[in-house]
Amino acid sequence: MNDDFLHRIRIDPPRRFIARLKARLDLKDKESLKPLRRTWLRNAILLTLVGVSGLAAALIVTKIYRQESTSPTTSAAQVFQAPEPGNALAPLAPHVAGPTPAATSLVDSRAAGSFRMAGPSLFRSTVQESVRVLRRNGSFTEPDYDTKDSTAAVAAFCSAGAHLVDAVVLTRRILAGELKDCGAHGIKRVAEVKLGYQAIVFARSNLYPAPTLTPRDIVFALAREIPDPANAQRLVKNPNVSWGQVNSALLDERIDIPGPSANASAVTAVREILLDTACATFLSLVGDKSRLDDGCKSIRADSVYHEVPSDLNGYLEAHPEALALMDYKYFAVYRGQLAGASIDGVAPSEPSLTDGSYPASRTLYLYINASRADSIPRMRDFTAALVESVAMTPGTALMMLSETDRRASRMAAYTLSDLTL
Amino acid sequence: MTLEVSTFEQRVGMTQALPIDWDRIYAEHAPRVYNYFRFRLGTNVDVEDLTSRTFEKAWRSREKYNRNVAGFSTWLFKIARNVAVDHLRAQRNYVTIDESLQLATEATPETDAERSSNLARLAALTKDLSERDRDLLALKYGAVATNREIARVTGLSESNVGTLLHRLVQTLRSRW
Repeated sequence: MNDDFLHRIRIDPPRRFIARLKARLDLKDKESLKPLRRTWLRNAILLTLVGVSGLAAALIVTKIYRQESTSPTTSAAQVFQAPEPGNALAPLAPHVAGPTPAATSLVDSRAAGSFRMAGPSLFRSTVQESVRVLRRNGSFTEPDYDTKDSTAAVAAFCSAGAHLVDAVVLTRRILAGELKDCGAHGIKRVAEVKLGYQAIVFARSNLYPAPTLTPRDIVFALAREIPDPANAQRLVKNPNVSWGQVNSALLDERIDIPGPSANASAVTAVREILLDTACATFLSLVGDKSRLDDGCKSIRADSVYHEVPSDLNGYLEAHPEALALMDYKYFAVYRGQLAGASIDGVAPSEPSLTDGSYPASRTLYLYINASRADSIPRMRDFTAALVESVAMTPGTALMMLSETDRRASRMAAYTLSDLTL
Repeated sequence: MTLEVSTFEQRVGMTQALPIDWDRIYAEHAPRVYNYFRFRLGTNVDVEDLTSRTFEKAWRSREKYNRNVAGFSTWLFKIARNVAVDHLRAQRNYVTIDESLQLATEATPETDAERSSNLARLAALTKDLSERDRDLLALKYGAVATNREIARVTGLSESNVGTLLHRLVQTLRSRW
């Protein structure tokens, strides 16, 4: 191939420029060592504070556990259940003993075709999608869907007289104590259907090693407000700009977290799965729950967290320190180009999502009042449609991990077998 | 996962076990990156700035990048390409390759003048090419990358790179 005419266009760069750039790179090499020395003391102080706050939280939890374990009607599982948004560390809602006659008559008098659901906001679009699918083959009344966190949803489901909720979507499995409470309130037959998984991943380009983080590291890097290192009882605007400030065991790299917009499901998920739990440990220090909810459980809005560029993978290749927040669905598609950060030593993978060991994941379940199901036309079809719609609804970051999982859930949707725990 | 070690990397002893001569790597790669930007964007002022940005990013993380996944030159040119894309995105009305030649302020020897003139001719001929084709030309003739290196950087197959470049050069030569 005669391409000499193209080779001739090359030139040698100006020597002055080459020498100047090299000198600048050498200087940066020397400068990069300084911040590590400067931040050592600050990191030691921060680590001490974090350790003290952790110890205080552990003591309080232990105290609560001792108090609760003296009550014969409350199980340890109830005490240690995952805190729900807006209900961090809140005890279960108290229930009255048994359904009132008025409540029973209210349930019976409801229109046969109408029903009501409660669950997380992210599942609303999946419900709507399922209704749309069902309506292709006949009429179907769209259920009323109330947004509630899992604890509140269970309380509404079991207190039939007050809330008349026929089905709930939970971001965790129902507890044995909760199921027992349902039975005590006249909800004798409860069916369980696994709806799918939701997980978030912090990933780099696989050109660079991904760090191992803890939920606490993520809070100190991502939350809008964190406990003041100088006075842990008050929250301050998150000052951390390097991972070394967050945790001295991490490399002292700039924190650069590209991620979706604030209202995206992955952001909601990171808040509900990671921030809620980790921020709750500061409650004993800060005291003000509403302030904690507002500050610690919100994502920072400065340049440390910023919306993903259109070519995320290209951005990650060119920015070695960037650690993008993404949902597992995206990570799974581009797994060959990405390296996911381990959280508490567990890497994001299908097995670690399935067995629940990956801390940034959760499983969604549907619970149905099976006694009511027969009086609602096409309820079983609707439940099966929910299972099918999980992977199809865009923007929810929900997924089924395997065909076996999907088949089992579809079967459970049609049989609506009584759950025993 | 295979270990990619290019001829260049073997020459400078850049394997997992041996210490890396970064000065030598810089000396060999700086002109390649510089010429890549010249061919790709043609703006002398920007070329220095973009070359600097590329090396500053690479230098900051050079000890951390995973050599099992990509050879150094592949990695460096991935960064360079992204720097070019960022630049184009940031400057919608960027100076075109031929306009930029009018901005050259330093006096150049005759050979440089001829090369500048050739670059202007190339700019005119490649004006209507796709971004991908311009990128291929810049990698091949600016960065003097092998077809294999280009394939690794762009994600195209090596044979595809060869075919595309062959057609591009034939077209350009016929109009030169």
